[in-house]
Amino acid sequence: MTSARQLPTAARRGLATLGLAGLALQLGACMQLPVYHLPEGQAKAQLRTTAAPGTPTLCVNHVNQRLWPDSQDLADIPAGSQVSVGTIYQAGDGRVTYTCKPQVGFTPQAGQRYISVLLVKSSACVVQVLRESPDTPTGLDWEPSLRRSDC
Amino acid sequence: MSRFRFVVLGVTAVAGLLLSGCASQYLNANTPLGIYGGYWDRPGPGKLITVGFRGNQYTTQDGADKMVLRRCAELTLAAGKHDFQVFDSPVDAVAGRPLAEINGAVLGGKPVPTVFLLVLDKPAPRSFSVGADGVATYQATVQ
Repeated sequence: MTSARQLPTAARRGLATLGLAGLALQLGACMQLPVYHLPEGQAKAQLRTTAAPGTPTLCVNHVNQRLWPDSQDLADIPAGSQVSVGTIYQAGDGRVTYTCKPQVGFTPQAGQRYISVLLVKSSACVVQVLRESPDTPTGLDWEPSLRRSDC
Repeated sequence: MSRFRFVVLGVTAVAGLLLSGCASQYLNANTPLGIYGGYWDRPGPGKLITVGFRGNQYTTQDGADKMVLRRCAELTLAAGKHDFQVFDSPVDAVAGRPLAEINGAVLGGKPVPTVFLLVLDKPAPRSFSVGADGVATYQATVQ
């Protein structure tokens, strides 16, 4: 097998250009997600995205969109039917960039406030969704309708 | 070689020795020196506090895990308490499944442990207790 160091300079430059182009395409794809706007008259819940760094996403009717939280990291989401929430997260050290796009599905209840949490593990990353519940010891509670993302 | 060049070379060599080949130290990752790693924390989710450590390639997994525990102990004392539990995830916190020891993630060969801290009002089973020396000790049961 030929390693990158054995390739001629022109080929190495080509590979580097391809890598940069790929990264640009990837970043471009993230930015091109349309921003979600809650339809007028739609029952709503709220999602806090503080604990899920990256670009927050919402999938409604199999269409992935970008959430745009307010200054308190709260975003309106539709209630009453299944949605999927997640984040597009990137981490890197200047040499390698790690990207993950975890999502989880659930059915938000009108008036309820939820929080999404990104967990970065050694081999994967996952997003958890819980209900905000000030009366419990942790301030959190289960969301019973959790299921696999359908997006 | 002029004296000025000697000084510049000396300073560069010392700085290089200090900054290279060293594991991330116990310092706030959000300070300028934090570019080499360190601890971080942020409030939430809920009443939990997210606490993590960003190590470099010279930081051992065990060392990074201990620094997270040390930061948890500091935050507990800062809250005026002595007892705390740590969880692997918020779901584990809601389920009441605290960790007995931290065994964090590794990303790109660098340890990046993250836990969710719950400061307690009083000792509880499977919690850590911070002693007068600031060291946290795990207790499986409450005496």
